[in-house]
Amino acid sequence: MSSVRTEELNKPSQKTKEEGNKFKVIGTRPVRPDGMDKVTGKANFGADIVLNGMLYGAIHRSPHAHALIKKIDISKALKLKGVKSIITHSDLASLKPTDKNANVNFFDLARNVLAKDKVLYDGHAIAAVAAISQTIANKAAKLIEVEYKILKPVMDIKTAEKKSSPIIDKNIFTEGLSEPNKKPSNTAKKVEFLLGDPEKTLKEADIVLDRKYSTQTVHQGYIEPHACAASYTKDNQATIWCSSQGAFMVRAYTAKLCGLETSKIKVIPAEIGGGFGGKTTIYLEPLAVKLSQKTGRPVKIVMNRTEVMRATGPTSGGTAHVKLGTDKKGNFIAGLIELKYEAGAFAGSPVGLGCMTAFAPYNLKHVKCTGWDILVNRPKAAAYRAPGAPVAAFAVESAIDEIASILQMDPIELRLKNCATEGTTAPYGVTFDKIGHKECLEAGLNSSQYHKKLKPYQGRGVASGFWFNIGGNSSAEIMINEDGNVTVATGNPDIGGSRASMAMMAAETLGIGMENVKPIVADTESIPYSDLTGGSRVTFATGKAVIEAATDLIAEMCRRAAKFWKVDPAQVEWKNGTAICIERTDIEPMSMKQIAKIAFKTGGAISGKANINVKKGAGPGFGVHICDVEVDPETGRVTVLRYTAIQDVGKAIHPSYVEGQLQGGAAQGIGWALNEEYVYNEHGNLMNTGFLDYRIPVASDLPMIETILVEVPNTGHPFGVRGVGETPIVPPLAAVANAVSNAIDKRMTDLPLNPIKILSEIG
Amino acid sequence: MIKIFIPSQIANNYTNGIHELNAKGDKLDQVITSLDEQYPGIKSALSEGFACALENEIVHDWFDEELDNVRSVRFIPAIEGG
Repeated sequence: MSSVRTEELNKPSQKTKEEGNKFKVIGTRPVRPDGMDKVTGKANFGADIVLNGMLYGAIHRSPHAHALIKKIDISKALKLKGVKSIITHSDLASLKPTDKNANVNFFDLARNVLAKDKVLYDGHAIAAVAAISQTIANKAAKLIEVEYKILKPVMDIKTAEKKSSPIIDKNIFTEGLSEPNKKPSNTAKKVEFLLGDPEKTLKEADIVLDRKYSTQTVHQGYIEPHACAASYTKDNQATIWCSSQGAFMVRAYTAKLCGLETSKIKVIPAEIGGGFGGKTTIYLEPLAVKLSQKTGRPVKIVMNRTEVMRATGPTSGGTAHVKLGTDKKGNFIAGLIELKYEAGAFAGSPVGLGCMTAFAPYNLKHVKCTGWDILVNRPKAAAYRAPGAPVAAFAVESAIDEIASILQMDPIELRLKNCATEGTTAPYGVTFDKIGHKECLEAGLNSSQYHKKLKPYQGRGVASGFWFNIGGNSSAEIMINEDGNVTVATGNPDIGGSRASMAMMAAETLGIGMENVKPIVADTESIPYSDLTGGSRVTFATGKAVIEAATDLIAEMCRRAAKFWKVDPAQVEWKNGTAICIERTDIEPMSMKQIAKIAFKTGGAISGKANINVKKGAGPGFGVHICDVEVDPETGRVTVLRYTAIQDVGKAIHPSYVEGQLQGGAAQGIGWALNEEYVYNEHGNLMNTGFLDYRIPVASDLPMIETILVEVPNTGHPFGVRGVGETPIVPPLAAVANAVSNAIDKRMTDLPLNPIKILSEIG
Repeated sequence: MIKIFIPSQIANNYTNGIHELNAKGDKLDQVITSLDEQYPGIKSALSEGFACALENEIVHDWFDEELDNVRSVRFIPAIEGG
């Protein structure tokens, strides 16, 4: 294990090579390849696309949270000069409830992008307009008249569970019950994970912490609103330009909703200004394609912030009931958790993942995790970093903090006593290989923050977090250009600096400098299929594809050199960026530049490729966060004084970007804990639809987030990489809540911890 | 003999609520095919949306994974991310 420490972010290490780094490129901190365009405003995001003859789109949205659509009248809007077309749900492909696969229910997705016969949340799209200007399109959208039968909205879990409450979706019958539900229900699914006999074992515990927790709906808060442009041509081909987390995902989903063959659609990825999981689905693309198909002209649609907040994927609010039993020495002996997550208006909250992650950081032989997926009249929940895990971790890590207090034990020592290590079987059934939870806790115990003394109304909170990390399908191609430099193409949008990490892994494998590698994100017709950018999979899985493509390229370069030298290919090896002929000292090594020059003589252009499904080997990620806060007893305001994020990252390819992932996750989690929540009125209308009212943390709200990168190499990756993007948002909710609870000596169980709640506790 | 653990929604639909099953085979698809003979339709149901935990690994898109030294196979919801 090694660790790289960044004490203060305003003084990031500018070292080109970290101490103890055995690699030449990996572990250094070069300038990111896409950085210049982004900081000079030249990068093209979804909304920047301009096409000849382009029309502008606007969407008519429901002002009601729950209502039947009795009639849609577009006649006035169509008469407006400059309006070219209007579409409704009936213009999309006709789909059935059975049109679904493992990842997505297309019947629901189609009803989400344009409501069918019922609106299910405030802001639900009903019709889309294309016009010659944005002003006209907006005006036309307002002229669309919809006749509703208003229904009582179901805004929270408690209401949704009442038998007397309206049913949101009559197609939903609770899955996972031992006795099938014969009536439609707002509860879509029950999931359960069981290890040992927790209920019996809990009775043997010396201490049982039994506590209920709750959190609110929050948004991913990406800065760039959803945007796309589409052009449908007379040969029945569509091209889409959009910012998303997966061009192939956009292609597949849009094809299904538009009734097109997948191969008829080309998706060109634009730069993406944040996604955090919220851009792993589609909202606008099928509308733009259909409007373009109807008008014969390209159509661009860009959401405003209000639309983003009202109608795109927040993550679930939820409740958690934890029972954690320990012996007198603090050994955890049984844990039970019941999670209830809001799915939004369509089934599919991440409650199953919440169950699987809840107790995963700990060595428990007796665990039961039960989850309920519950429909409410809010936007369909979308993924948000480590989906499902933060709410579950908030509950479990808060309970652990309280037990530490009861036992008068140091909270990190208590976690160390119980932490999962190599050989621990997690409640979801996997036995861990080498993992770094213990090392993270030890790093926390030794951190400078942990030993700083606190004053009255100041408190310290600690929490651990876990994420599985995943692999999946990735493709990469590396081409040698005529000058001997290489281009690395992958099919994954660059959200968190993947261009840099791909280039660095290619450079390291090839034995050349980062400056000789140009990484690009290819469109769906220029690279084979790749799963979307999410789940902390790209540096791990696409990185593996890049390494394999580079290895393939090296083999071909050696063959070409052998051919040129007229020697047996077995006599040629690759070393330090050159082909060398072993056993022949009279032959000079050949560089990539020289190999590029002989490419045409020896068989043509040279490239290497890899199309792989990385089914396993994604090393799990563990993190530990330490938060110091100060509570103002007069106003209830919480100030985060100091914050350290520690994580086992396997091997940091580009430490600055890895530190950035930890800092970003911490910042988002702090917002989730302290400020952020969807606020609805009694009619189910969202009241805080902008960043003035929905307050994500800004720079002045936070201290510099200190980071400690623990490096326990993942044996499933050639360079030891573990995914890093998801784990950092798992601990902050509990770390902050524990800090506030300790500052005011009252246990805070309901997020966000706004001043009103804090003052009511202080009294 | 390998122990196979299946989720509630599959158990309730295909195995009369039994979560823990036993099957023989050297490769995962053989094992699941033999289960399918006992519980028709279970293979198809487990093929969509479920990964499986083989001792120390979660395997997505499972197919013909070798089961040397594997004592239990636990089917779990496929893991996505944000």
